[in-house]
Amino acid sequence: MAVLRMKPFFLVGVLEKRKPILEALQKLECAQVEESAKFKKIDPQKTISTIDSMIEESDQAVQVIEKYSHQKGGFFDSTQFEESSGLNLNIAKSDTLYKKVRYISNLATEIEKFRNEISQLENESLLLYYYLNLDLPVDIKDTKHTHILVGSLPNFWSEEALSGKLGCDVYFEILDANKLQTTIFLIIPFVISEKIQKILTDIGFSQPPFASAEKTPEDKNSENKKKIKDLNQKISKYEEKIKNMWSDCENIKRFSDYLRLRKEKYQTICKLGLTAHTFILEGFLNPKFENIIKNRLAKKFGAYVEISEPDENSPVDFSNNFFAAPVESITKTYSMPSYYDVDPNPIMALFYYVFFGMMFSDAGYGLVLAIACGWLMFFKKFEQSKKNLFRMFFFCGVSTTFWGFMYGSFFGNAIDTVAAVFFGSDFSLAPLWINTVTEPLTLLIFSIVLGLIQIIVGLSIKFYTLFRRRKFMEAIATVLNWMLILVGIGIFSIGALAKIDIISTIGVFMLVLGVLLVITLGGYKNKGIMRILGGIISLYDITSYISDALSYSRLMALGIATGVIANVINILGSMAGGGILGFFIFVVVSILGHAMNFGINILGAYVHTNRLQYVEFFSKFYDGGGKKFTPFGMHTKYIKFFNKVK
Amino acid sequence: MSLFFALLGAAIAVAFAGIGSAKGVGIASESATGVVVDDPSKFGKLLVLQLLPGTQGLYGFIVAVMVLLNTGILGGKMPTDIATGLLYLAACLPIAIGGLFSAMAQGRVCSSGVNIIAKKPAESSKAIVSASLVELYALLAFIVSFLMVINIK
Repeated sequence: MAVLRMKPFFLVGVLEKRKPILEALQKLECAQVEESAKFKKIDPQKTISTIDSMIEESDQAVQVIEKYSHQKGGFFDSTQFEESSGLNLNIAKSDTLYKKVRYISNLATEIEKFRNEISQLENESLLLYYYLNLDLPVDIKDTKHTHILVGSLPNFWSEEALSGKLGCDVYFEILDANKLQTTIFLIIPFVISEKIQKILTDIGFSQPPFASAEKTPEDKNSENKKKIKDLNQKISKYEEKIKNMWSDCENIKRFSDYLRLRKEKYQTICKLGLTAHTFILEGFLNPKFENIIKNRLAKKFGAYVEISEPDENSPVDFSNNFFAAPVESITKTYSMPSYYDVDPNPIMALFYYVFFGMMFSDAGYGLVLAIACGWLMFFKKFEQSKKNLFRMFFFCGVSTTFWGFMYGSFFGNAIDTVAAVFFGSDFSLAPLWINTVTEPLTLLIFSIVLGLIQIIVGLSIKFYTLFRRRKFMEAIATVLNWMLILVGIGIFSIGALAKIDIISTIGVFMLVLGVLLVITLGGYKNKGIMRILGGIISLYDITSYISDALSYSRLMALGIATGVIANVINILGSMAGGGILGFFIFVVVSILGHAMNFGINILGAYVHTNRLQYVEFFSKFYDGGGKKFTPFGMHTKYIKFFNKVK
Repeated sequence: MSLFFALLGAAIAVAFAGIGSAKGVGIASESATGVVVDDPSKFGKLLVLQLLPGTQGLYGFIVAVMVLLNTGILGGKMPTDIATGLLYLAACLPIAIGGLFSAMAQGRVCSSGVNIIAKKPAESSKAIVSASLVELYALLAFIVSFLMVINIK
C-alpha cells in the first residue's frame, strides 16, 4: 500500500563468481544496475549485436511457422509460465535449434523467391494475351526480301485506318484491338522498309516487351502456366515442410527467450566496474529483497554488499493490494511519484471505479464486462500487466452494473420494450435511484458534488504531504484556505437544503475564514502591501476550482448518453412490431446496436475517467517526475519465467 | 409550422455535429493511416484517437432523438404553436455549433497526438488526455442543449 523506494547499494565480488551472482540477481529481478562511473568497464557490444541478430532470426522463424500453421496466439490467450530454473539450455541443444531456425528462414526466403517468379510469369501472360492470335514466334526472323515485325500501337486502330496510313504495299494483320492498344503483325518489303518504319514510329509503334524464344505466343502461354503450376506445387511443399516444424515452435520460442535473457545479462555486464580480480556492481535494490541479498547471496558467493537508505534519486515502484494495484498502470502512464509524493492509487482506485461506472452506466453492459473480465481473471493465467488490466475492468464492470440499476438501465430500456412489444405488458424496470432523462438536474448536482469531494480529498493529500515536509506556511496559505472555502460551501449548501440555520452558519463561517486566509496569506511570499495585493489576486484561483468542479458534469453527460443511445437502439429494433419476424429483427438490431454502443461508450468512459484523475485530481497534489524502477531481470517475449525461491 | 422548426432544430443538431465529427475523425484517421502503414500493430492504440472526435456526432444525435421523442415523431405530443417550435430550434443550437467546431479542433489535436503514438507508444495516454481537454466544451454544449430540450413544456 505504498510507494516502494529502492535502496542504493553496491556489491563487490571476485571475478570467478560474476556469472553465478549475475544469474542469481537476474532470477530474483530485484536490482536495477547502474553504470559504474569510477571503474573501467568492458564492452561486449559485438556479442550483443550477434545475439540481437539471432533473436531477430528466431522471431521471424516463429512468425513464419505461426503464419503457415495458422496458429497465432491472441491477446486473450493464457500466458505461458515456467519456473526459472528450467531456463538453462545446454549448448548442444541451442546449436541444433539455431540450425532449425536457419532452415526455416531459408525455406521462407525460397517461398518468397517462388512467389516473385510467379508474379513475373503472370505479368508476362497478361501481355501475351494480346498476341495469342499470332501463330508465329514473336521474334520471328526477316525473310530474304521482307522485314517482319510484331508489336503494338496505342489506341484503337481499324483495318481501314491502318491500311490508309501504311499504303497497300504492306501486308498486315490485326491480332487484337481494344480501346487502349492494337496489336499487329506486319510484313514489309525491304524496299519501303525505311519509310514504313518512320510512319510506324510516328504513330507510336512499339515492339512487345518480351521475347518468346522461337515459340508461338500460344505455346509460350501454356508453358508459363505449367511453370506457375510447378512453382505453386513447390510452394505448397515448402509450406508443408514449415508446418511440420510446428512441434519445434515451442522450442524455438524458448530459444529466442533464452537469447533475450543472455542479452540482458551482457547488457548488465557492460555496466559493471572491473579491477584486476574483482567486479563492482552498483545500483538500486528493492527493499523487499534486502535480507536475501545480504544474508543468502553475499554469503553464498563470498561477495561484499553495502546497502544505504533511499534518497531523492532512487527509482520507485508501487506496491498495492488486490483492489488498488490495477490502477497503478493508470498512474504510471501519468508519472511516477517523486520523493515527496504519497501513493495515490488506493484512493484513486475507489474514485476510478465509481466514475467509470457512472459514465458507462448500464447494468447490461456492466454485467457483460464484469463477467468477461472475471472469466479471464479467474480461469486463465496471464502475466501481471494483463492480469491487472482485466482486474481493473472487472471492478469497473461491477461498478457499472451497480450504477446501471441505480439509473434503471439494462441494455437501455430493453426489458420494458420486450415486455411492451412482445408480451403486451407494461412491466418496467424502475430505477433504484433516479431516472436520468427526467431528472438530469439532480444527477448534475450529484456529479459536481462528487467532483468537489474528489477535489477536497486531493487537497487534503497535498496538505498532508506539505505538513509532513514541515512546510506549514505553504500548507496553510495554498491548501488549507481553499479547503475551508470548498468545505464551507458544501456545508452551507447542506444547511440551506435541510433548512438548519446552525449548519449553514458554520458553513458561512468556514467560507469567510477561508476567504480571509486567502487574502492575508495568498501572497505570503511577498512583503508589505504587495502581500495583501497578492492575496487578493490569488482569490482569482476560484475560477480554476469552479471549472474543475464543472468538469465533473461529464459524469452526468456520458451517463445519460449511454442510456439514451441504448433506448434508441431498442426503439429501432422494435419498429417491426411483435411476432416471430419482429422478434428476429429485434434480436439482430439489438445485438449490432448494443455492441456498437458498448464499444463507443466504454471508450468514452475510459478516456474521461482517466482525464478526471489526471487533470482534476492529480493536479491538486501529485508532483510526479520520479524514476521508474526497471530491474535487471527476465524480460522475455513468449514465456514468462517466475522465481520459486523467495 | 411549429413541428417544422422543431425538426429543423433536430436536423441541424445531428447534421452540424455530424459534419464536425466526420471532419475530425477524418483528419485523425488520415494521420493514423500513415502510422499504420509502417507499424500495423499500433492500430488498436490509434483507433482510440481516431474515434475521439466522433463523440460530438453522437451528442448531436442524442439531442435530435430527444427532440423527436418530445415532438410526437417518436411518441410524445405534438407542439401546436410556433413559439414552441422555435424554442426547440434554439435548444439545438449549442450542440450543433459547439459540436461542429469542437470536433474539428479535436480532430487536429488527435492528428498531432498520432505522432506521440508513432514515436513513443508508452506515452499514448497523454495524447488521449490532450484530446479530452477539447471534449469538455462539446460536453458542456451537449448538457445545455439536453437540459433545454427536456425542459421545454
